[in-house]
Amino acid sequence: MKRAAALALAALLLSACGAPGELAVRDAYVVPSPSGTGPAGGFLVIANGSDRERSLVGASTPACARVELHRSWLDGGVARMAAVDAMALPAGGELRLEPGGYHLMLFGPCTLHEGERVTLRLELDGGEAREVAAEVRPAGGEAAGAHDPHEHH
Amino acid sequence: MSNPAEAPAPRRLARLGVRAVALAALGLGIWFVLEVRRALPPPAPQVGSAATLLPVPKALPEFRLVDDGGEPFARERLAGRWSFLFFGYAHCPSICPMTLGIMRDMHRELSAGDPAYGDTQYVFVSVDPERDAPDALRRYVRHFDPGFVGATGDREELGRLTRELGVFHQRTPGGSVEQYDFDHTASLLLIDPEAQLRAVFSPPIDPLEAADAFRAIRRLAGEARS
Repeated sequence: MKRAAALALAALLLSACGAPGELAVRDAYVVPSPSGTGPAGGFLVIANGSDRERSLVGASTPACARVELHRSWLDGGVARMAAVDAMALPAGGELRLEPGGYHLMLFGPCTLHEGERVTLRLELDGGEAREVAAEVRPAGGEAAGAHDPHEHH
Repeated sequence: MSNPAEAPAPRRLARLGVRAVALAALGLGIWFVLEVRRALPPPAPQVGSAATLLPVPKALPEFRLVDDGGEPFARERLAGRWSFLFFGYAHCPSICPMTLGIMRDMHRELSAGDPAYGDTQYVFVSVDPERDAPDALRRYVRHFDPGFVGATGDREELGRLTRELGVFHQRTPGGSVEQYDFDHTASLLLIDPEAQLRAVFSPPIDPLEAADAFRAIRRLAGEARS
C-alpha cells in the first residue's frame, strides 16, 4: 500500500517535471507571403522554465502543407538563410523566433486570412508536442509596431 | 601611504619629476595622435550611425530591368529624384518583409514632415526573376505601400547593376526546382537624383534614424550644390 502510494507520488512528481507548464509559448503569429507566391513566416517565443535544455525539432499546421525550421542571419551585411534540424531551448531561458533570426517557414498551399488564428503544432524533443494559436498578421507589421512612436491613433 | 606634506624633500622632488615626465608623455601622445590622423585619409563620413556616405558618389551603369507593370526600368527611372534600392526576392519570408516594412516606416516618417521628402522613390529589385513575375512583384511591393516599385531583369542585367553597386546575391545550394533561397546584401542603397550611389544604410536599420540620416544627406547635398 505504502509502496503503491510512493510510486504514485513519484509518478506525479515525474509528470510534473516533464509537465507542459514548464514550457510557455507566447506571441505566436504567422505572416503570409505578400506576393502570395512564397512561403509564410511563423514567429513565436518559447520560455523554458525548467532546469534542462530542451529543443524544438519540428512544427506543422493544418493551414499549410509543410513547415520547416529556418534561421536567417546577417553575415557581413549579407542576409543568409538555412534550414535547421532543431532549435535549442536553453534551461531557464527562452527561444525567440523573430524576423531576421530563427523562424518557421510555412510552405503552401496555405489557407491564411489576416486577423484569423491558425493552430501551430510544435514538436519538442522526447516526442512531446504543443499546440498554440497563432494570429495571421500582415507582413512588415512587426516593424511598424516596434518602431513607430510617431504614429498616434 | 604617508601624507604628502610629511614626505621628505627628495621624495617630493621625485614625485614632481614623475609628474613632469607623465605630462610630457601625454603631450607627446596627443601630438602623435593628431599627426597620425592628419596623415591618414579621411574616414568615410557617417551621417549619424545609420548611414555611410560614399566619399565620392558613384555613377550607376546603364542597365535594363523590367518594372512590376512590365515596363522598362532603366537608369533614367532613377534620375531626377532620390531613390532607395533594396535587393531581395519575394519568396524570402523574414529579412525582405522586415526591410520593406522598415522602408514603409521611413516613407511614412518622411512624408509626414517636409513634403520635399515625399517624392522619394522606393524600389525593390528582385534577384529571383525566374519566380518573381511582374504581377507577383507588384502584389509584393504594393502590400507595403501603393507607391513602392518592384523591378527585376535577366541575370546579365541584374549582374551589371549589382556588380557596380557592390550588391551580393547568390542562390544557396540545395533546394528544389521551385523551392530555393538566395543570400543577398541586406543594405538599403541611396541613389541621388543624378543616378549616383550616394550612401549605404546597413542593418540593423531603425526607420526613424534612417529618415534623419537621409534628411542630413540631402541637406549636405544641397549645401554642396549652392
